[in-house]
Amino acid sequence: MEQINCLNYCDIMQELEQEETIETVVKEAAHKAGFEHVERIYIGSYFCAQYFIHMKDSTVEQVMAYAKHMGIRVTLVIPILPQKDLEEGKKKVEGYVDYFEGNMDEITVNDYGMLSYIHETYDVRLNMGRLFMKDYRDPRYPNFFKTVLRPKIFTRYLTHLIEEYQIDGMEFDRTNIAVNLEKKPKGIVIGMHTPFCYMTVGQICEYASINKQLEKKFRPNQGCGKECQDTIIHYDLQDDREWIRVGRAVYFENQECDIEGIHKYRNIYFPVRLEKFV
Amino acid sequence: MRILVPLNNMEHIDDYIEAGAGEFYIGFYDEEWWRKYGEYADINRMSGFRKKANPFSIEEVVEIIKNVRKKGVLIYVTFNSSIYSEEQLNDIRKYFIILKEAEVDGVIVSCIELVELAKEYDLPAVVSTISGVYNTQIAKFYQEHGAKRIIIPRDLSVDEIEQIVTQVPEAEYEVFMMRNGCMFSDSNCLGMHRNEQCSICGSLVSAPNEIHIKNDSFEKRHQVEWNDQLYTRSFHEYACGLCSIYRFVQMNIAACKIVGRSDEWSNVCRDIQYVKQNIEIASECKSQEEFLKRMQLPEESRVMCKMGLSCYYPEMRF
Repeated sequence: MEQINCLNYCDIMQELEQEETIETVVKEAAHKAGFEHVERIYIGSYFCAQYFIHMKDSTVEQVMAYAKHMGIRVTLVIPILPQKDLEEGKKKVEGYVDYFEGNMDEITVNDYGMLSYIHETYDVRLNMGRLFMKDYRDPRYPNFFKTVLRPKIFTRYLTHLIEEYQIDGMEFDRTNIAVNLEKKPKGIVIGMHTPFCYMTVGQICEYASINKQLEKKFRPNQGCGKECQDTIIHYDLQDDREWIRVGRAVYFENQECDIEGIHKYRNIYFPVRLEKFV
Repeated sequence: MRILVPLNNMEHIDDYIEAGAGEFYIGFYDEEWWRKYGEYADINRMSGFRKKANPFSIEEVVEIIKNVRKKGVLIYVTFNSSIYSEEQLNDIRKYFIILKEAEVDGVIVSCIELVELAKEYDLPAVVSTISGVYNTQIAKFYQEHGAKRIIIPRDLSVDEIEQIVTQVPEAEYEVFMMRNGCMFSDSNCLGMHRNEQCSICGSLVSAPNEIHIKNDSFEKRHQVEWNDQLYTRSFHEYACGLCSIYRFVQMNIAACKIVGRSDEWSNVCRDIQYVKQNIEIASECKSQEEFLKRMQLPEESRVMCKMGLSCYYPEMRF
């Protein structure tokens, strides 16, 4: 099986803002992922509009400079943007337009509205992100977890969408013991997120409320002080599995998932450094 | 603004209508579906609770539709599992044919494929909150593909809802009003809803957890832990949107929804009455301020409101 090695810094770009150089951080992440080299880096956010619109441009600049130097491609990931952040989010994307002719050669979107907008507005490769793939995932039900997932999204209608919006790739989570992708539409590049599978996410962020007064806590998509960068919650669901809340999403670790039915895919590794949290 | 109520109890249908229900939504079970696709395959998001949440077969639902329509109340049938395979979509055709013949007022659907399918059978499509219509771009996409009504997710503010309603006026809209809140988004919460275990949010709030903090300090630790206790123990134990009714009436929202397909009927009736009374008060008011002064609060509001922790739209009051 041919794998294209990718690192997913979405929602954890603070990892790239440490005292170490980006090169050191990326090398360490690649080593942890078991990659000899890195071919693509994902930046932006899958889950949080606040994160996306407040991404530091200086960090993006540094990543782009490093990627150019190393010949690494970059994917910009756009989360679902609630109404109040929609225009700001579009402006953010517009701010990166100069990169689109260079190393930032594709965009991953996570909703139909943005799929349509990016297709109409920019000439870049386009991926359907992991939030489009809504097959259940739930290792609390071992009998279900042990079945092979055959993603339901591979319908005739999908083929129509792919043609209409010129979609190049699709991203999936490792939801079960195995994922079979033999029915993927021809020509579509598959990306598999690893080693964590997202299970749930919300517009209401627990971390964003940490420094809010009681009556302002737990509002949807509220502004924050990026408290998620300093806090991670581990849950013990008494199943010997790692469950973590990173930003707005809750993930479970799934390292035992086989990928079936395809010969090549992007292995998109999430290099969150849990050991940096006390 | 009509009041939309879950119908899982035919015995009390007249009680619901008398209390003020103007619309019903209902799901159904089909043993054949489970035989064909396995026990984890849902027809709707509550299929995992089996007959507790969906006590009727499609044949019984057809009779219920006829009965409800005779009483002059609208009724919708739910197809809001998070995703369907090609084969499942094809099987849903047979249900759509039956429902069209029964003259159902619409089908509540969770994906674009079913919006297209509903259009094929000339059934009004109501886009479920599972579709995650969080902004005007997404609303426009679904409306242009044939959606008649859009259910706005419960984690948007009233101002955001107003922008969507104003900027995509071709669709009609439905909002959440009473009973169950959720800390996650309906559209991308992908754990099972079944009898054997609680939903994933329930598992997370009751699981032992360890909070790991960078640059830990006494003050930081206590802020984070206190916040987590509020989040896991007090946030959205119940949910209510009564204080937003004036704004929704002004926006011409088509329906407000009381959730809780497996809740006790008398509690649902009580909530319908609160909503009905407040819609009537809102229609007499000239401003939000006047409405907030005059509105009927639930009897237990002092305990229930929790400084906004039980609000769908906390910005209306806190």
